[in-house]
Amino acid sequence: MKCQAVQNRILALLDPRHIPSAFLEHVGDCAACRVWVEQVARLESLIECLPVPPAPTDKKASLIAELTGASVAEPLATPSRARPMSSPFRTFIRENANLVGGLAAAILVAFGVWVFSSSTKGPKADVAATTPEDPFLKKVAGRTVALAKATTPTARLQALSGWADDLGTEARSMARVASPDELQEIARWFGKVKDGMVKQAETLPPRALTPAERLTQFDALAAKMGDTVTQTNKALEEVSQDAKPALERIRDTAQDGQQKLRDLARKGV
Amino acid sequence: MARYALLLTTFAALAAWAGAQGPAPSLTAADQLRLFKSNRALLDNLVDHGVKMSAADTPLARAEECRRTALTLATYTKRAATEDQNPDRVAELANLLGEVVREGLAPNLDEAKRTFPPESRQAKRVGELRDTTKHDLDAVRAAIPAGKVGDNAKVQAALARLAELRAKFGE
Repeated sequence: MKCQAVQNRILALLDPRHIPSAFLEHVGDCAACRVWVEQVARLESLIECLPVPPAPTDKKASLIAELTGASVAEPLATPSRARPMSSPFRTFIRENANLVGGLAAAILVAFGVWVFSSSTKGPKADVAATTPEDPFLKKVAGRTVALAKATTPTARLQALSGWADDLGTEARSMARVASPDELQEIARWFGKVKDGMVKQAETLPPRALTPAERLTQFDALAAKMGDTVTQTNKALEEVSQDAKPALERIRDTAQDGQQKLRDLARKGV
Repeated sequence: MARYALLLTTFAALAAWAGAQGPAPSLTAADQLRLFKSNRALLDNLVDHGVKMSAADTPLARAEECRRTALTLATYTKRAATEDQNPDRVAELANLLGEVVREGLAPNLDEAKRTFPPESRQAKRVGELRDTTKHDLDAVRAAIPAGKVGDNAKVQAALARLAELRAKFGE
């Protein structure tokens, strides 16, 4: 048994001058504990010798009268020293002082870190005052730039296809929050981009692609339009009635684009 | 015992620190809608520019459309600075303007310049487009008011990038 544990248990005794046999072996062998026990025993004896201030002369009589006058005899309180000694909780605290102290410190540190991290994030008013960047605007501007960089008809077709995909995704994402008018606007943009794609495919110079390349590329673009049809149909099952007309318009536009691209893929094959 | 307590303390501190490192806040549906409403007219313009750009099959035609796109973005940037006085929006739009000029307009102007003989009508148009672009960029800079917008770090960074771009177009 460790010295600290023995000393804690001795402190918890009613009278530390009477050491139980369980601790005697350790105290007998350990010089430090022996000295410590002697000091505790001396302290206990000295406490008993402390002068007690005299009670008021009539205190005894009034106390007796009070006790005898009580209809129900209340149990007398146990000696104040005995209560903490017999409490398993306090005994546990004394025996595991380091563990409990460590836990308390950990909780304090965690709380401190939490408070610090909250305060370094700045006042909420400042966060609310900032305007976040619009990812959709960035995408649209990016598509315009991509088209400005596209020097071949096939590169332009690819850029337009990606753009149509962006618009379909945005419409589905906004379907729950935007007004029917706003959704119709996105559907109109989708239609413009699809028309641009089909026009680009129609005016593609015959020598730009071999028939096999044309078939592969146009079929791939048609398949992407088909994905938009599938995903929009899925979204249509979940959105409100108000949002449906715009999504249906996008789906129909995508179906039309898919069909036209398929037809153009086989033109001249 | 002390080692155990130290371990617990370290673990708790690390757990608290890790908890504080949340992912960057993503855009809420309300934010998405608010941004869509404020950018709707600009988006409509950009879609038109983009579709016209897809029909432009020469560097000069693409440069013309890029310049029109840049002018639209410059107009909205100036409006954000003077009417909305919103530094975040000014910085965002100025950055988009820079992207269009840097990656779309400038390369197409360079390509067009190489394509046409110096005395041709098209080469003259290339020169005009360079001048108007310089003017557009200068006008954006001049429209940014000092104070809330002009002193904002993001706006200053965006303007510095535009100034760098402007320098490439010459005096």
